[in-house]
Amino acid sequence: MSAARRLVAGLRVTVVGGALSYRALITFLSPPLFFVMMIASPFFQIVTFSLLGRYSGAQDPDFYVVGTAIQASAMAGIYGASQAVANERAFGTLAHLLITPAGRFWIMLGRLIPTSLNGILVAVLGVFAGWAFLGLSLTPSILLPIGVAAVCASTSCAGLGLIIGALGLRFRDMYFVTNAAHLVLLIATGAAIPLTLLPGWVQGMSQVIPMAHAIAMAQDAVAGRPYSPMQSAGAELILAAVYFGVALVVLARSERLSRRLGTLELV
Amino acid sequence: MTRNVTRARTLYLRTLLVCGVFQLRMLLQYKFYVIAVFVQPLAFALIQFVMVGHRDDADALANVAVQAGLMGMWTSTLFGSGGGLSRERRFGTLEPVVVAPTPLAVNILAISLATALMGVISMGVTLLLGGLVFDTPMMPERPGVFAAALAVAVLANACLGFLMANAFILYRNSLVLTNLLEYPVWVLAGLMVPAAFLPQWCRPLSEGLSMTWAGRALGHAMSGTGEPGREILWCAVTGLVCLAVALVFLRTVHDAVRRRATLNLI
Repeated sequence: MSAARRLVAGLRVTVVGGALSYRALITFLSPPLFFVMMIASPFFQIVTFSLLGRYSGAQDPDFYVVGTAIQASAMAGIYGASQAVANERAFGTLAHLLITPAGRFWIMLGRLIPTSLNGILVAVLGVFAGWAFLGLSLTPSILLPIGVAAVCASTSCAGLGLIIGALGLRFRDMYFVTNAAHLVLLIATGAAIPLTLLPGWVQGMSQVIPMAHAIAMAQDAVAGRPYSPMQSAGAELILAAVYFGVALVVLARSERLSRRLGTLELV
Repeated sequence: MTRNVTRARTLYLRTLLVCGVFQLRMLLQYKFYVIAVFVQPLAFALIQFVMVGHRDDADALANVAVQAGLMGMWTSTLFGSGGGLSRERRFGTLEPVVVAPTPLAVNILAISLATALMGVISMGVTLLLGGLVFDTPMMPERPGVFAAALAVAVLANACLGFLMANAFILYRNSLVLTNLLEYPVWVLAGLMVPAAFLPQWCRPLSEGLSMTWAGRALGHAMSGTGEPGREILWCAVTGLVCLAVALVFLRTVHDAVRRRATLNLI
């Protein structure tokens, strides 16, 4: 099969598989729960941290509205990817999925794209909710950097989510890891706490974990501070590429090990 | 007659304690609750310590550990009590629990009590974090009052959890409400920022929550200031109101689901 045909076949698996999986997710969650998880909960999170930020006086309230909106959006990528494997196992379809000759990368990509798009939508709605209810000063010129930041953050988070999802092939309870990742990202990315208030080692860590670069870019844009879109978005996308690379290695290794040990659906 | 009533009450109390301990042991097996009572309060306490620390307000900083502990208590009660009956349904034990000779209220209250008790762990964890890392007091100025406030907070939370558990019998998708209520109650109860910092229209909602009074009472018991006695009383009153509403609600819901034979369908 030529490279072009392989690519088309892979993309078909991504699009069709992703659409089916996303439809199943919505049906499983039910529309009210979907609304709560995707819109209402992130909104309340934005309000909460905006109030805390206003109370602390460490930064302008806009800083927290934008930071937590992007943080909430990117989490959709992490939860979406890590739950993709967990849900297949829960519904008893994981073995069927892995027995197919379809490329694992394309399958997982199909699970990631809809949740990442969802995340971007959450960020956009969160920012507009912040403008409508929390007095976020929103000008047309900052919409583009915020949008770019949301896309980059969602992409790098999807990479991290894919690593967690791949580990889910070997280990049963990845919910713990996903939640821990959520809390670490909340603290160490500058979404809820200005990084300048944190110790140096946390600031160093924020350079290699998803979201921090994108969030900083959006916060700088809102505050009217100078920022470099190429540098921030570039750093975030390089991180995304690294996370995706690691995820593919972990995915292949986890699948091989779970097949050899016969633990795919037992763990 | 009086002797029988006393004996029945003793038996109900025993059931409440035995079931409560059993539920507590079961909940501690779930990684979700381990996160909810150990990890999440630590993370939110850390955020609050750093943010409130920037205000340079020693009194506010001293209250952070207590507030973050109560946040853990609320999360545990919310998800534990909200999902309590769903768990029973999943295990296939809902019908035996409903038809048991012990009143259903006692069994549900035991679940709520266990989930609220887990909040004591959160409180311990956040007080330890504050003392070890942020140099805030670990021991309350009035230990007796603090213990009384914590006990009333647990019981009031259990009553609130009991009310939610009943409401969720009627509503199949209880996960919707549980996910929705976590942050708003933290904010309204003044656990993230003082209630006085909230808009005026939020204040009545805030005053109606037992968590608000529990937070104030525990904060005052820690610092040795204010009138924690009055706040403990209000915490108890709001908790009892929840209990009374829940008992009326349970009777209605219980009758309805049995009459329609929809207990396992909801």
